[in-house]
Amino acid sequence: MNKHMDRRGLLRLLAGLGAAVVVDQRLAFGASATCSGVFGELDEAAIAELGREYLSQRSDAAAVDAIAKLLAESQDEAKTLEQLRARVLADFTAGRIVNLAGWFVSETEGCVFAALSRCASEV
Amino acid sequence: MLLDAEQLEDGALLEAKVIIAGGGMAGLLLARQLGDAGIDVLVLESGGQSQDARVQSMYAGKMTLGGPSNSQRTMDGYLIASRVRCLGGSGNVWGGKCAPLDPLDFERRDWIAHSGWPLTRSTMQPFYDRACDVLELPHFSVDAQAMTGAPEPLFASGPRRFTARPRGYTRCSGAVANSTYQDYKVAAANHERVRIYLKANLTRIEMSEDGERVAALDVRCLNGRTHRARAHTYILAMGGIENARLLLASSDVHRNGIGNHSDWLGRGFQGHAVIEKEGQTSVQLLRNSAVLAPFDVMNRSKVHIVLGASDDTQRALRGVNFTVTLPRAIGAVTGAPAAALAVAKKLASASTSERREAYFMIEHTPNRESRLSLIRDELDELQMPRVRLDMRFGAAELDRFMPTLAMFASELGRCEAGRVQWRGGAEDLVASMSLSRHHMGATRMAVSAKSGVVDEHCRVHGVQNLYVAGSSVFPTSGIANPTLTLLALALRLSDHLRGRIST
Ligand SMILES: Cc1cc2nc3c(=O)[nH]c(=O)nc-3n(C[C@H](O)[C@H](O)[C@H](O)COP(=O)(O)OP(=O)(O)OC[C@H]3O[C@@H](n4cnc5c(N)ncnc54)[C@H](O)[C@@H]3O)c2cc1C
Repeated sequence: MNKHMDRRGLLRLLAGLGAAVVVDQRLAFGASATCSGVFGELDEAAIAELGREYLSQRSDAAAVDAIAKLLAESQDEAKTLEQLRARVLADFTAGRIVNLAGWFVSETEGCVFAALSRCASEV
Repeated sequence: MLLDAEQLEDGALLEAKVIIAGGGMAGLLLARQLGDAGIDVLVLESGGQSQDARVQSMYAGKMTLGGPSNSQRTMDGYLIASRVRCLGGSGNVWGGKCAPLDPLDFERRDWIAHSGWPLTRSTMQPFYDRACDVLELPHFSVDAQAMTGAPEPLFASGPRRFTARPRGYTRCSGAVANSTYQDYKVAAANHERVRIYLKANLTRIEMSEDGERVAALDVRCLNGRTHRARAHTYILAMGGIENARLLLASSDVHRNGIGNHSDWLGRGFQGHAVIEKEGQTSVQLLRNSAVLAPFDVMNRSKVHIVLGASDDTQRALRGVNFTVTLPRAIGAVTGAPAAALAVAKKLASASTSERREAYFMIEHTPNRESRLSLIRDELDELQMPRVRLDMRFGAAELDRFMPTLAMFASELGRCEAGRVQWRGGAEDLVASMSLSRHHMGATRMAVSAKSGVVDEHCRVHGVQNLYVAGSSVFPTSGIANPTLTLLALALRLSDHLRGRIST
């Protein structure tokens, strides 16, 4: 099983967003950073399960789209991670949490799983 | 001196300045203290020197556990299994875990019905210190860091929504290695002013005709002999359930039971419950083991900490006391949770992490429907009505569990300290409860007879010479194991009586 989200996966992720402009930009960046680069090696099936569970609890896909876009447009892993971290901390500070697979995580983490799982399910 | 009531001639009259019914931790400490003040004390103890099934069976009764929107559980066995009826009482088996109540536990909280003690934590502090001396524990200051030497290790920054609460273990328990409990019993039994009658069951409190004084006690033995006992002052120290049982059963002058002016006797019963689902309640901490060491409960010689909802958190949520205990490291998760935690770890740039078993405790607030009553047509071997315990948790605490846990989870996340595992809602909390053997509230303390059974000196309202010792007097019970507090109250009561009883 392909545990990394490669360039193909990333393109599918972008296609999933339905934003041609973003795809163009992303292609121009040459897909140097992949999602797998940001979070290390993640089990696709596990991520897909978390993503599905998140989407089953939250109907608003806009937040997921925003995270997917952030991931897709990322050129600098450290910077992307820092941006996500800031969102996660803001979520926890405001009590924006969700229970996935029996664990309380931030809404942003939920969106990350949903964004990654879109891609994972299409690869 | 240890004596055997079964060996007395039938119909004997036992007399002393003070009679204490019950030779458990409370009764024996009181006996020793009053004896030290030169007062002649007689202790009536139901059991012998060791446990006996026939004696223990007098603790049998019926019990249910429930709460709004939760399935009711039948737990009859709890009444026998959660206490010990012989000299030394439950002290023979208790875990020895000690903690004082928190300052807020004593306060009246306008969002919690029937909350508030007539005492404060600062009034209690010197008695807590003395109780710690009795149990050979370090003193519990209100400042956890001063006591444990460990700053709160998880929520170092921002608002202090959860704070460290120290807990210690004493060797003064019959159940632990190198126990000092035998010395505790001997200190009372060998006291020159103290006589302890074993196998002496208090079965009725006889009131004066005007109902304002105890006139005498009926004492029965399992060999059929009956005796009378008479004193200047009487103290009930038969444990959190039997204290209420005797007051309810002694109804010939006060029809609803002694001290039952406002129908509080037996009501407001509280028991601490651990909320835990096997393998499904844990906390993944993004810290290393050294930082987490103060949470370890395995080392009994060290004070450990649990995390408790701060006063501000309880006020903000209009919530109740709540703690999280993180006793030990356990195996890592797999599958989806492992992926979720890998992301959390990456986000926090944590180089290490540890999964800890967790259990949650939520304060059981005083609830009139949570009550002890008598089963009049079911009698024990001594013709005493058996007890019925309907322990009820209320919406007050069950509805606040999830918001408090969610705040805890948010705080862990905000401080990049970890993630919390829990699945379920308020409707399955009762099913997830394991009950502690703590029996509180059934003879609650209140300034006025309108809202309780005993006054701030543990004297039964309206009765001049009858006192109650033990956790049954707690109007609220926080989340602290009760024995340290009941011993502190016993010390306070002995000080109170010393000044009032001539030697
Ligand atoms: C397994 C277990 C673990 C525990 N762990 C902890 C812990 O870690 N921390 C903590 O704080 N608490 C703990 N507890 C609770 C603790 O043991 C009690 O709070 C404490 O021992 C109560 O002391 P007491 O003297 O008030 O009552 P008891 O110990 O119940 O003593 C009452 C005495 O009265 C006698 N008696 C009863 N009826 C009559 C009668 N009719 N006539 C004459 N005598 C009578 C009994 O035989 C007994 O000796 C635990 C309890 C158990 C069972």
